[in-house]
Amino acid sequence: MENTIEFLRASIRLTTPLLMAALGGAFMQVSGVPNVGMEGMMLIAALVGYIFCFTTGSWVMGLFFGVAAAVIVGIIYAIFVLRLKADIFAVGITLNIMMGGIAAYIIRRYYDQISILLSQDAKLLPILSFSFLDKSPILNLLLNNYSLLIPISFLLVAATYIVFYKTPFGFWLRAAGSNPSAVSASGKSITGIRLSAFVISAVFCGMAGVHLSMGYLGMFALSLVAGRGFIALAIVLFGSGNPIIVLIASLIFGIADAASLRIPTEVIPPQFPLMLPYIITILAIILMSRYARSFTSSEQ
Amino acid sequence: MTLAIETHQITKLYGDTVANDHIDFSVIEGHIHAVLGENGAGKTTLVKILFGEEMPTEGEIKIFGKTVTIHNPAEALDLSIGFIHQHFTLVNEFTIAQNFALGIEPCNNLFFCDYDTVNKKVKNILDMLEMPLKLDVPVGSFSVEERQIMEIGKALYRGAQILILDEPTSVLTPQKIEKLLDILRKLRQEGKTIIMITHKLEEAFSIADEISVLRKGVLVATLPHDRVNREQLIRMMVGEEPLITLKKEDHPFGDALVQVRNLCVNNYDNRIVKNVSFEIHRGEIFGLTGVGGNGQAELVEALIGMRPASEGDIRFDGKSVVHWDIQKRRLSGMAYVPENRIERGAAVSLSILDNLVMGHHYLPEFHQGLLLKYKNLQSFARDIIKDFEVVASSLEINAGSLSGGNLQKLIIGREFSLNTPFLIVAYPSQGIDIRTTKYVHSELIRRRDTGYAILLVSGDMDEIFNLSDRIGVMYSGELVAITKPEEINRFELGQYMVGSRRNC
Ligand SMILES: Nc1ncnc2c1ncn2[C@@H]1O[C@H](COP(=O)(O)OP(=O)(O)OP(=O)(O)O)[C@@H](O)[C@H]1O
Ligand SMILES: [Mg+2]
Repeated sequence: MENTIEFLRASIRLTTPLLMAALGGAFMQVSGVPNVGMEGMMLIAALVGYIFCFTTGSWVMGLFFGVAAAVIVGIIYAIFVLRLKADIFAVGITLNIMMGGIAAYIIRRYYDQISILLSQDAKLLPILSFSFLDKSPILNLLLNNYSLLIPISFLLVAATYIVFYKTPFGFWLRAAGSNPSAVSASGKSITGIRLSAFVISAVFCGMAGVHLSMGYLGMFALSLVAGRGFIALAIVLFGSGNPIIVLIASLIFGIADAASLRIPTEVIPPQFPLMLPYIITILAIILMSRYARSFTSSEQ
Repeated sequence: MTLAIETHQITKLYGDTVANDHIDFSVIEGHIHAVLGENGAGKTTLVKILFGEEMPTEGEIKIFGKTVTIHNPAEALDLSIGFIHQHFTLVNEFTIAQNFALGIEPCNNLFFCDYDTVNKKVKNILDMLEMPLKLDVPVGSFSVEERQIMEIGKALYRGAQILILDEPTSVLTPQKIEKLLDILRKLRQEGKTIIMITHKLEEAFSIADEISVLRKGVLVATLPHDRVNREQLIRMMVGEEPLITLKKEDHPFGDALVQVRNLCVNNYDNRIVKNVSFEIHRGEIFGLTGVGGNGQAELVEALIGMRPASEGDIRFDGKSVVHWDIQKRRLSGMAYVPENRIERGAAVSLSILDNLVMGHHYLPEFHQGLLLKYKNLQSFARDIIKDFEVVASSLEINAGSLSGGNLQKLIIGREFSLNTPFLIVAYPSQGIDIRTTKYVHSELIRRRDTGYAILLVSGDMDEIFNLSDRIGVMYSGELVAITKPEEINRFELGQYMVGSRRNC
């Protein structure tokens, strides 16, 4: 019992970074530009957030500057893609590599560390506890006392859904992705709409990164994002940006992630469980592309 | 009589190209104004300037008497100018109301939109256009014609008093063209001002109050429709050079080069082409016609190898080719001018040269081992440009910067120059001007006379009657008639096309 609860909690904790990043990715995806730079945005936010939370002793500062760092990356990304018309994949991948380099440089140059940053003074994200959940022991165990951004990430699913399908901005975003000339013919600027998608996307990825260092791990490590930015991209593509499908896919990956940490190493060599998320990603993409093909052809 | 639009000395330069040369163009309020001119004459450029998609290099614009500068489409919409593009500007996933209101959603508070009021307005507009369409389904489920009229509705919803249409009829079948023209007449009664670009003189005569002709960027004349005749118009469009006259003489066919036997083509579970059999002989133009969407496109795609045949056989020069891929079929002697030339026929972000050599590059005269022979390719490309009168400043510019018709000519030229014994040509005159149409037609006849087999797919009755040796009509996936042009009249052909008659 205890084990099951702990496993479910781990799944939820591991779902959040994917879910948050993928929701951000969805904003860009539906506006017609895939976010390939999520890995780098998450990494730089995780580092900057962590540094600020131990230098200032305030998690608010950490959260703010972590997200701000990701937004700066997002704006640079947007300038290259929207203004200079550079290839979105080339720029995204370059930014990911560059953020890895910058992070390694900063912890080496200023903190004399090789791959990990850990400080006693770090003021991590607060744990939320709701007293109304105390009444039911199971719910209390399962749903209470999570780090701040975990409940927020689930609330953002609803918020994203409302924005996409109920607000004018959501219509513009989706129109920009589906038929850009519909947007320009209606007198709106494609570039402006996509720029806001880049920024929102960066805010979400920034929060995902901050959650990893200041919430989930309580430290910074160069390897802490560990491909989650790309898994998040796969999730976005899988759901073509639909927040509900993004939620379901993120939960599946979160559970797979938690499971990979739990399979006893005597039974299966530890490398295999670690591959699990990636194998699921590939399978999901194959299934999705078949689905997508039959969908478009039936539309014709 | 007030003027809706008045331009003064509008000039537009693209690099060295003078697309518009000091144009004084005026349109009377409440009239339909047709704009004619050869490919690359500057028609699209002129209306893009009026809609704020391009800024004039020089000149002045007055809308309803007020001097204005139109920087972008939003400002044009504010001046009640609506532009119906040749490509669709609808979002397929959205409903009609969501499309019409895109960018101007009525919001009763900061976030949420009130689509009930939009729907009421949309319904009024659709009633006026006599298009009772479902309001709660995505527009992607409507037909091309319905979406074209929806584009007009969208402009009206946005309060357009002036409607600009760039070649609105070029993708429509004759019946649908009539319907569209009726709608435009109706809008004129409601007091709207309409500018329509077209290549079809009949349309201009049947609908326009005034006709303007552009040639090489210059406005040659604007005349009331009853003060000008066909010959004068053509002379104004093409200058003093005479047009080629078509001469087609009967001659015996050779052997059957292409034989199609019981061909069936599926789109997933739908059978789109049903049991079609025919042959095309050397020295014959086989005209395939029908109302759009009755399987002609799929039949052609199966012939060239873009779509698998689900049953039946295709024989080319005696050999069965159904299992060959496109390249093998092309190398064995087929060429193909596709229907959708911009999507399927060209790579618009590549240069003109690149576009012209595609498919030719593996011919022996153009490469040596792994390397291409650029000199040969360039002189070859220059020949095509000259023969087909493609107006382009150099071989290096993007194919996408050519005018609509010039891009069409480029692709037709490329496929014709393959000099293959079998040529599939879909809708050759779509979007191209009178002079080039004549040239293309005379080239088709010349090739037929030298023993080529030609499959001509077209919805244009004149084209089908003037060029074909035999005519095949498709209806709902079946070949319902094979006949000769001298054996039927237009009325009978129409009966075959709508399925009320068949002969095989
Ligand atoms: N974006 C551009 N860049 C460079 N040249 C251009 C551009 N757009 C148009 N042109 C050139 O301007 C001239 C006029 O083009 P325009 O599209 O107005 O012709 P058009 O009359 O509409 O012809 P068509 O009947 O073929 O559509 C052409 O020579 C064309 O190549
Ligand atoms: Mg044009």
